[in-house]
Amino acid sequence: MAFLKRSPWMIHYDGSSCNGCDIEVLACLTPVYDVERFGIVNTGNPKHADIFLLTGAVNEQNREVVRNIYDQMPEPKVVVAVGICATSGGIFRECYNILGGADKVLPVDVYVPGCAARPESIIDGVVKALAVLEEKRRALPPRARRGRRAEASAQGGNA
Amino acid sequence: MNRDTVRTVTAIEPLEALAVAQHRRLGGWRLVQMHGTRVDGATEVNYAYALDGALEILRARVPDGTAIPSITGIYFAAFHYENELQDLFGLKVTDLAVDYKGHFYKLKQTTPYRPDLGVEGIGSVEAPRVPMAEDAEPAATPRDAHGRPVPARIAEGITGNRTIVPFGPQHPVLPEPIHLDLVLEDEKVVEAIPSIGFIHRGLEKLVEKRDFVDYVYVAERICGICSFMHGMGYCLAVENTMGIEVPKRADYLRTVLAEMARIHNHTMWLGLVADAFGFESLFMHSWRVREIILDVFEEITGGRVIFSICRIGGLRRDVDERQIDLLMKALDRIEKELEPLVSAFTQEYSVVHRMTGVGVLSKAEAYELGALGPMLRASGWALDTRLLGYAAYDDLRFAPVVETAGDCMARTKVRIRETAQSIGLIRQAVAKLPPGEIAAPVKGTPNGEFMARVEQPRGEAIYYVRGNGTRFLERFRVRTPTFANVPALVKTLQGCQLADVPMLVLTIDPCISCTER
Ligand code: SF4
Repeated sequence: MAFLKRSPWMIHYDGSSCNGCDIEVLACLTPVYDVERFGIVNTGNPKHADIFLLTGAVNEQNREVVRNIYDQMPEPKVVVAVGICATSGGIFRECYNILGGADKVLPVDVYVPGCAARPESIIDGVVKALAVLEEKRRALPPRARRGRRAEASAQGGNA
Repeated sequence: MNRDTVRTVTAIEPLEALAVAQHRRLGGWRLVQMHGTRVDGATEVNYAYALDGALEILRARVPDGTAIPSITGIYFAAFHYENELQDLFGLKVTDLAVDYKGHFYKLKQTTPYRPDLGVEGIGSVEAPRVPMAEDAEPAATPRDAHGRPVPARIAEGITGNRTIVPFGPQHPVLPEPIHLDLVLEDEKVVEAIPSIGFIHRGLEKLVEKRDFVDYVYVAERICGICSFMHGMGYCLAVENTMGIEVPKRADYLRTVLAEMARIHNHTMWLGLVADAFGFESLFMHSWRVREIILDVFEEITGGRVIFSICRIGGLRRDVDERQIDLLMKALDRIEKELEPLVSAFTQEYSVVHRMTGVGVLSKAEAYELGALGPMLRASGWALDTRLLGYAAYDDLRFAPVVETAGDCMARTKVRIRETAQSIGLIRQAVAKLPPGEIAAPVKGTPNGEFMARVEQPRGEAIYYVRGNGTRFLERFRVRTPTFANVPALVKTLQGCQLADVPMLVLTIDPCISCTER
């Protein structure tokens, strides 16, 4: 299971952000910051993902979508709220269609502040998330701990 | 000051809107935007038309409880605006070509501009949406046991070999959420039904709670990609309302920063489109080039994507010799490093094959559907808002970049050539950079209204402000280019192959957070 800790896969979703944090998340993956060299891959498929990077303060219409993505991710999984919007609603907190942060819809494990969050702090947040991921893995029943594939088939690919 | 725009505001009767639209259409005017404003117990509906430098606003006062006729029969592109009026103002629009029936956005608070309508809003009156279903054969309006239309994406029993494939909101090629219901006949897309609203925050209304000087920061965050231009557009509108004369140096620096933002945007877009057709190394290299300009941004403003450097009256920071020097070196580097990428985009066999002749938007269609920016210019129109001469564009020499093929390749070429153009514009502006102040003092409060137009990387954006003499504006409205490009996208999607959908979606350079605000 060490592979999970060393090369986690992540999924990124824009939960009503301004885009600023989203391009910074992508910037982490592209040259200069390039976390892909460590085997961290941005996947488009929630069923492959260990880490959920959520940006934005989440609006009414996105509530279900965010929930849906989270529910499809196999255990163990962690949620990283990227940017001050996702942390608390940020500048959009008082807008009429904003729920006010990622933790209004999901259990958030790591908060990355910043507007926009800098790639360095996003990477830092992901590293923190890895520790949480490891803890969560230990807390799982032994059968599920073996590996992602075994776990996926044991739980029907769903948490 | 913005010398643009012969601007007139004319009052009309709500029912006159149709006849006026017909008349403008025949005269070749473009519908640039529609928006509502609440004014004592009534909704004012504003129709803005533009022809070259002229901008005209027609204003109809609609008492509560009355409906207005839709102009979608004349300007199809109006369906967005009218659906938005239904959702946000609870205003009934009759004969809408594509009627979402109050479900254009899914809102936490229904009809936010009409809180008196309560939770019911207009939405509860009708069943959930199945827009555009009528023209897709009789069986395409499936109904459930209660006779309510079933959302297209779960509808079964579509006739013959038709299927509906949902696309988005979470999709590997989409950096931002948008949802399309694609009606397919085998592999061919017959129809695409967009549903948006995943990023609708409602920040236009925030203007009522934030001081107009502070609101610049909110305006910047309409979108983190063209953040500088959003801040600038808002500032231009407020400055013009208040009659503030921005110092020349600030105008020049704003131009420089705006063109840097264009380089950033276009190089980023090149990467994203390469990703959409599966050319990953090209994606990575384009983004590498993009980092060069971000470094300069960081050096000048302190931020990589959100800059907070623009303020009403000018800029917050000046630029010194060393920074200019860095900028010039960066431009040289970008020019050099972009060269091999450009040849990959325009000559590499698989890329050329993938983009040529795909998603053609004819010259007439582009105008008709209200397309903007590179999308419009790739179809042969030499329209560029910068020609109006805001900021320092009046003093610089340039001509709009035009291609005529109207396909994905043409749109790519327009953006490539515009990147080179931006580099040239920055060099010109820096060479002429005047010394002096960078900000004018702000005295008093805005009273009056103004509609500023700015050419963003994606096309013309419109910023409308209306002040009432207090520190809080009465209305702020932004109409962004993607909002105007969606009808054209829907058109190009019709008849394309399913595999081309991601690429077509990307060639309009969608910016969803702009669109939905
Ligand atoms: S935190 Fe700032 S940059 Fe990030 S999404 Fe929110 S407003 Fe945009």
